[in-house]
Amino acid sequence: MHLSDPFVLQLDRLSTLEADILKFAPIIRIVCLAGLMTVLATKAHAGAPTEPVTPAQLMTQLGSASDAEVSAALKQIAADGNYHLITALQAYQNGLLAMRGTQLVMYGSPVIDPVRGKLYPVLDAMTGQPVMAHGKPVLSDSIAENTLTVPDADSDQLEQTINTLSMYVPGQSARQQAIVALGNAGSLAYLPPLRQQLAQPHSSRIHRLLRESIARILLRHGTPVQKMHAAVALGQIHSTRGMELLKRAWRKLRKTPTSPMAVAVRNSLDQINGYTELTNLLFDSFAGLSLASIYVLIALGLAIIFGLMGVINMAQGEFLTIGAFTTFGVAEVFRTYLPPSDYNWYFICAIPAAFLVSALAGAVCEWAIIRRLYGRPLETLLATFGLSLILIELIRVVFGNNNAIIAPSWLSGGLWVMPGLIFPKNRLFIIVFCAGCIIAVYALIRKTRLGLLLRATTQDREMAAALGVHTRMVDMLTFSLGTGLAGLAGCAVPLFSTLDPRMGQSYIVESFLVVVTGGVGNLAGVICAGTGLGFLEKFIEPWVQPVYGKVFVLIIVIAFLQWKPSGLFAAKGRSMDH
Amino acid sequence: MSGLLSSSIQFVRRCRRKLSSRVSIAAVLAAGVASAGVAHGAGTVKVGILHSLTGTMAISETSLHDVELMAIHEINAKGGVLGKQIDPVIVNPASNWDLFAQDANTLIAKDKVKVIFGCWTSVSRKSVLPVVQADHGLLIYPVQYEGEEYSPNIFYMGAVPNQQLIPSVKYLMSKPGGKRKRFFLLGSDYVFPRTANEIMEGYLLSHGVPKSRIKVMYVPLGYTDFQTVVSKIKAFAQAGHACVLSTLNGSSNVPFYTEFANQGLTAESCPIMAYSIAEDELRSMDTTKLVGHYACWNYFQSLRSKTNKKFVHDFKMWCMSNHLPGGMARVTDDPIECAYTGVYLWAAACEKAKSFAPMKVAKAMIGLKMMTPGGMVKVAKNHNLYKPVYVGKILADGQFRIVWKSKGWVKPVAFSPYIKMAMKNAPK
Repeated sequence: MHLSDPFVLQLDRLSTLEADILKFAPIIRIVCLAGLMTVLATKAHAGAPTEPVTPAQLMTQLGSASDAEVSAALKQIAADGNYHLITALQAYQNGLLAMRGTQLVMYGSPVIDPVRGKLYPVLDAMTGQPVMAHGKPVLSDSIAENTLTVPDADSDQLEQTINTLSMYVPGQSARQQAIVALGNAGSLAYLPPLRQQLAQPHSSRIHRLLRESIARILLRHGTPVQKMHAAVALGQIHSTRGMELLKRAWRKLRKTPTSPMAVAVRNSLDQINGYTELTNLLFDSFAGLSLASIYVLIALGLAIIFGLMGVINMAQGEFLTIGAFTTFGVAEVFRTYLPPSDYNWYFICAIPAAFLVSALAGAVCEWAIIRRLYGRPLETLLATFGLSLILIELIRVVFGNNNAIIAPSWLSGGLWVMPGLIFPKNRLFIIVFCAGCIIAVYALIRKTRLGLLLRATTQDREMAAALGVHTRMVDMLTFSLGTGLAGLAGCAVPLFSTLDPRMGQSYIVESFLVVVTGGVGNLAGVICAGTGLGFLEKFIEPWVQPVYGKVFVLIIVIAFLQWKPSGLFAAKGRSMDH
Repeated sequence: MSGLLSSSIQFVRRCRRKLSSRVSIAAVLAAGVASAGVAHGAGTVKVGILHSLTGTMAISETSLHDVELMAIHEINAKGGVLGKQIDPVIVNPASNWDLFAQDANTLIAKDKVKVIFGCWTSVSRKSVLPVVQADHGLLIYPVQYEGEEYSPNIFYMGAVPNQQLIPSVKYLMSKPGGKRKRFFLLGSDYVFPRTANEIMEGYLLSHGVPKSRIKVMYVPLGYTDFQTVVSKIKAFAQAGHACVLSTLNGSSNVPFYTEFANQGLTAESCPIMAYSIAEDELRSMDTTKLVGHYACWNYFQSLRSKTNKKFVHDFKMWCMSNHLPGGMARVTDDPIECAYTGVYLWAAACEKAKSFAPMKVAKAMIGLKMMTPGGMVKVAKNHNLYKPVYVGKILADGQFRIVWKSKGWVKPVAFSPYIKMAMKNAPK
């Protein structure tokens, strides 16, 4: 077989790739030699040293009565890295692999037949395809008696073989997981395959994981020299996965803190701790920013409505719900009428749809309720509160309680930043989306005619009216704009949260908090307060249980409002005087 | 302002309640008229249905209300109990636990119901408990709970901790479960997760898991921003062989699983065992984020018994023919099956006692055996059920693949021996 050459080659590559481990190259050499000899011995045992053994032959050899033959076959399978055999090996492990004549077969998960009861599909062990007889797949009433049994002596090796093979499965994430799993298992048996992989060209991420897993195994089972180098290596690659082992090593070495090993372990722990602090800081900032974006997005509409009309819209949360369910509706339409490949684009269509539907609903509510209660803030508050209850139950009646939106795949998963730091894509999107909304709102208010009228009406309603501004119309448009913004927030919220008729309620308190802290009706205040609250919450939370995190935030907000009762930016409009 | 708000919330809820109870009385009257033709002229027996149909808990409790009506309809169609047709009196306590007590009182004292099927949350059960005890009523409680309770007037259809929590932890520690060694206990902050975590922590400590490998965390009810929590789990899981035992409730689940997947954690590296997620909850979740994680229950819709297949089919048909939201897409799950079993067990006990008198029925309940969709059950002396336990893995279609089942019945132990253990080990 071709195995002996890579083993020699490997040592050369190692020298460039892993300087630390090279220092104990003699040991590796011994290990490799031992490996080589076993492989040779295996081949001698298999009796065909010149001809390559086919995977099928190796698998058949598993049926051998001799422990040693089974063990040799497993070793060869692991060395070949033929990951297609994983399913068959798992079947072997579960006692579902059997000989059917000369064919090696495995039994699949049972299906229920109305007449014959439980039936096991018979699959070819090498291909996984159903075995056919008379043009029909073969179904067996029971699992045959002659299944291959795993010798007790080889059961550990079988598991190791399966784990090793999973390292060869194509695809970055599967491979990464397998390498980490080998490090977790921490058995010396995984050292040769890991080292063999290390010698191959790989992406830097895989390469780092390989080094990490090797060091984790050596730190546990290696010689004192190996342990020392492993400890140093773990520190160099900032391995958080190795933390636990290093801590354990440190506990044993605490009494001799000046020994070289103890110094190495201590240094590595310090290095990893420093790195973890950095990633934590970056992640907390990111989390704070993303939470802040959500707060700002939700409070923006509320602030515009309050700033202009002095209306405390208790139903603002429900306009968010309307936006969310519009998104749900659009997603359902895409799912039902369009091919699955186009499903991902529903979100793009849902953004304007959510805005328009919520804005329209807002316009109707303004015309039907708010307009008639103008200048009676308490009644307006109660009316909008009633409206919110009506809307919740209405949505419940129409859509029911349990609905789900599947986020588009381009917003699922995370963006890998550096080892130990992943930014979820949906959160990144929220930050960008929120920034876009803020810019759009600013442009609307500062650059357009509607914005001019809106500002004029906010600053002095009577004067604006006297100059010919149709203030009622401005009110309606502003209310629609405010509710439309809530709808936009509603479009974004299901990306990371629940879709249910009461979802708006969980945001209404936070958005009031942001509006009040920011200075009622002030957009810059909303942005500052939202950002402040988001960061505050995410920087307090790592130190206390989440249950108390919110309590601390509320205490700080109360204290702040005692100091500055009108918020960060006091409103300047005359509507505040009344 | 918040005082004003909460009192107005109460006011509105009460109005709604009156409204809906009127509606339900009308519905019952209509049902009574309709069933009069079927009845043998021997009259009717009233039973109470006490589930929140509005408010936070409606999302879970509505399905129980639906399945209980279905069971009553089925029993009535077969001739009723002791020759009498069952007449359900439906009230809506609107997720407000004060109202649960009041409504239970009204049901027993005014409507003279012989039994109440109802409650979901432990706090609602605790508020009904003194009422049924004082009024000599009977409550059939359909949900898994934290144990530590006994009342002569309550029968518990759901699992006690040793029928759900302990077997699932055992499974995770076993070889097929991945030999987990590090346990992150995450729960919403209320009575069930607090008690459940205490029991699981006690169990883990007494089975050789050191305190440093167990982490307990609570989030407020309705919490949605799991960024920090998940990054903590991620750090905790770095050393390998970790898992999460989740007693998160309601709307916290979707954001939690989404964040979990998006931060790069997987079911292989760190599986989540959930105690509050069943098929009904999975309907409102994007299951792509949940595939491969676990749940532990005494019933799954995917159970392959004939009784269960009929039950699942009947429930879907019932939802469709009654134009309930979801229709044929509705699913069954553990609490729904327990609620269904509860009605049948009560009917069987009445037949056995040859009476509707609550205390006689309660006596007859003990020792009763019945084939249910989840398997054979038996009522234990402590008013809980002997039942089988299953661990399921979540599939992409929102159903479970059963990966472990108990050998026969698991005896219910309502008062857990592990609670004291956790107290003893608590830092002083």
